[in-house]
Amino acid sequence: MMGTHKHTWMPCCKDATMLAEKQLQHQRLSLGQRIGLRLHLLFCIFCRRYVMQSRAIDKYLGNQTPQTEITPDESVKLQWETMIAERMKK
Amino acid sequence: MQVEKSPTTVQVSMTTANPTRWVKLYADDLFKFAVAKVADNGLAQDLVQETFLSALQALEQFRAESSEKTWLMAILKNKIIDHFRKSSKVPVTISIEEDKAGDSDPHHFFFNEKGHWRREMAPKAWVSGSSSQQDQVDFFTILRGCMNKLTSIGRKVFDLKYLEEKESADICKDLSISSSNYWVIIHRAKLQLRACLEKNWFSN
Repeated sequence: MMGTHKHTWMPCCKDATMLAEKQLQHQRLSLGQRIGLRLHLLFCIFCRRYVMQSRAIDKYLGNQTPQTEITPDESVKLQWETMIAERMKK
Repeated sequence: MQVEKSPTTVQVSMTTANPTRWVKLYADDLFKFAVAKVADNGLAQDLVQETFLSALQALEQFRAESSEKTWLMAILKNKIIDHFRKSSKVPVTISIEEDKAGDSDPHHFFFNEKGHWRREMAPKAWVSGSSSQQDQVDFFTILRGCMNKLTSIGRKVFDLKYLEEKESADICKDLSISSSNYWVIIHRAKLQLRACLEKNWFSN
């Protein structure tokens, strides 16, 4: 990847978080990448936090799937229907 | 009742939208989508209502190629994006250096030359706040504010990914960016968003 430092078998934080990001978005990693990421996370609390928090952010951004099936009030729907009907008359 | 069109059998009668059925057929789905994105029932209701109004005004622009639902959904998505844009005056702060880092080497701001976290940028443990309704709303306001601090390309990719729910490959195609470029953008936007949330919400 990018960067000027030497790469060893273990990815640095910058690369590890990138790999983690790919994995979070369901991108397949190579075996070597998966092992490298696992090892890195084993030793690095900051990247472990990053992964947890990044996953949480995805949840907030994407589907905050409502706990219960949520639908608009019947009264609201009625209001919408009336509104549409009135505009159609014009 | 819902009219499913196969491309080979487009009939003239299907080229017109039928607004009187909208609420019955689509209100629930539109509302559900809006709530999932804005996390606020009242606001979601307003957005759906505005969607219906805009759709009525633009009836003649409706084309039979897309289903009524797809069409309404597209209008709703635009309403949501507009809303996010307008609510950008949320007081979130990001550091000046980060602002200046801009396009040069954004990663440099978070990681040192060895690729390790810079001490002041390393993720801290997040204090999870209470989950009261009001707090929820406040949190999403902050999240919105942080989204608006992203670079325009980061913002664009996030909108396509999380709002339009597009696949990575399609996003690359839409924005004509390479796949490796896409991942750099995602990674960087996530780093910025994470840091912004930590600073403005998860630290006390």
